[in-house]
Amino acid sequence: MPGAQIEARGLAKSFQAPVLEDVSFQVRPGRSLALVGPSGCGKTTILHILAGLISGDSGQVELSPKEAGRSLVMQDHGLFPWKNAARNLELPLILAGLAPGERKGRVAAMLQSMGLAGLERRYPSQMSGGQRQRLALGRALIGRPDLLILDEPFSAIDAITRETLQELLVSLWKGLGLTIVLATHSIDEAIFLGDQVLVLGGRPTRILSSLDNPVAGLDRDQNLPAIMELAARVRQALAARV
Amino acid sequence: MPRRILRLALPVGFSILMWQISALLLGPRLLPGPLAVALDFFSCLGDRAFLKDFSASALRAGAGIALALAIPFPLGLAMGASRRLDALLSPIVFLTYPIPKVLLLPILLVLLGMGEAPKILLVAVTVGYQVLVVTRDSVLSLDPRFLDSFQSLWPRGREAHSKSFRRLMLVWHVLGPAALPSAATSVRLASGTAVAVLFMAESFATQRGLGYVIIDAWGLMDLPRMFSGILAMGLLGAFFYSLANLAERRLVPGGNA
Ligand SMILES: Nc1ncnc2c1ncn2[C@@H]1O[C@H](COP(=O)(O)OP(=O)(O)O)[C@@H](O)[C@H]1O
Ligand SMILES: [Mg+2]
Repeated sequence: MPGAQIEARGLAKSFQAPVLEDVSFQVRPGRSLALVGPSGCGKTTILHILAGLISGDSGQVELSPKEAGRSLVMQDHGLFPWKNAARNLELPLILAGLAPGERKGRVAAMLQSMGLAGLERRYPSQMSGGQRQRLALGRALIGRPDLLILDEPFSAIDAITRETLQELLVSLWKGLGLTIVLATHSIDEAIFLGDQVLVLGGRPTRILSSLDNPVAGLDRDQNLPAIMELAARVRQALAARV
Repeated sequence: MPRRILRLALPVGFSILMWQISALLLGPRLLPGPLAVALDFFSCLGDRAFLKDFSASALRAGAGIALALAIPFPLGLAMGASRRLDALLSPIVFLTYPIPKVLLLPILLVLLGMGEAPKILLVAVTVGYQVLVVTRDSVLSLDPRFLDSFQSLWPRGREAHSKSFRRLMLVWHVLGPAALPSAATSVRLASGTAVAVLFMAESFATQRGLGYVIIDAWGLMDLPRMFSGILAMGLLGAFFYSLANLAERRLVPGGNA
């Protein structure tokens, strides 16, 4: 059952101060949406609403099919430091009520496909940043979600590893037919990973611009005219706020 | 390795030297020298009665500490996890927390008699209060990210599953392992007090145990034996200290990052 459709309408959220105001968007099954905006603009808040961790003050999120599975890769990975790689991967399966035999098989397969074979007994603190991020990605995918939500997944990683991981994400996205929503503060990353790029800003935050991106996942050559033009439009939208 | 031995040997050697000097100044009737005590201690190691006293104390301390984990640790987790339980229990806990638990000794003796139970229980209460408070606090101060992370892993369609199962999973996979290292720390820090209250309990309410050996030798003015008993009790405390220290390090693999 690949891909879920998301329909978010009029999301608003205040903490001490209003953070989000009237954020609406739609993501079609198997497509990806990149949220880009400055730190503190409410990206995590939107993703947590999508993931069902918090609810908005108003507005609604509709997933279809209704029972579509969703999982979240948290900012700073959210792995449990007291569990080794295999046990971190296993937890969602335990919570889903799978039998131990099946859990073992799926954990081994996920370690393999994330390029973490042989590291199953390592604790997160004993892994590199890139390996941790692979593990977090694997933990989010092991429950076979239709919607994958990623909160600045690669921002704490060196540039070379980041490119490898971005490619990995694209191949998973295309291979599994996932719907993806990701937050980033990197314009390049938003353009490489998002079919659609939502530029967020203002106070309280609203959508400054929504751009269709035909080159997502295809090329990362920043000198390509299509990519240069998109990047310029994102920068324009960010600069024009207030 | 040689460096570590040197770092240990220097202060130990210095202490023994100071001890020897003081013993020479005070004379053997007030303070036996290290050699006399060492000789007596080694003869104790071959003395079945002394070994029985040693193991009696070790078992009491061990059982007390085990009990101090078995009940207060889960209770601390439960208080941390349940607002209602915490509201009910924490006023009682914090009112009684500052009371020196050794004051319970006569009460326990009246209630439970002269057997093992009051001694074990006194150690358990002394250590257990620390474990309880530290465990509760470490659950309450847990980084909320971990709670979000756990919640985000909960599969859709299982929201309806029993709330208590969900809470059990949270305690087992998140709160428990997160709080264990601090619980081990509290045992380590309380191990000295544990041996101290055990000494109190054994010094009059029994005929067996290192506390009895010390007090008995004191009565007979057998100073080398008295010091052997003190040394043995000290080693007992050091043993539980290192045990907890080891547990602490094993429970935090590669640091709690
Ligand atoms: N739980 C919270 N309590 C209070 N304020 C919050 C909370 N979560 C987020 N905020 C505030 O909401 C704003 C948006 O935060 P966030 O969604 O984390 O932004 P971003 O992910 O884009 O950096 C920030 O100003 C932040 O301080
Ligand atoms: Mg954020």
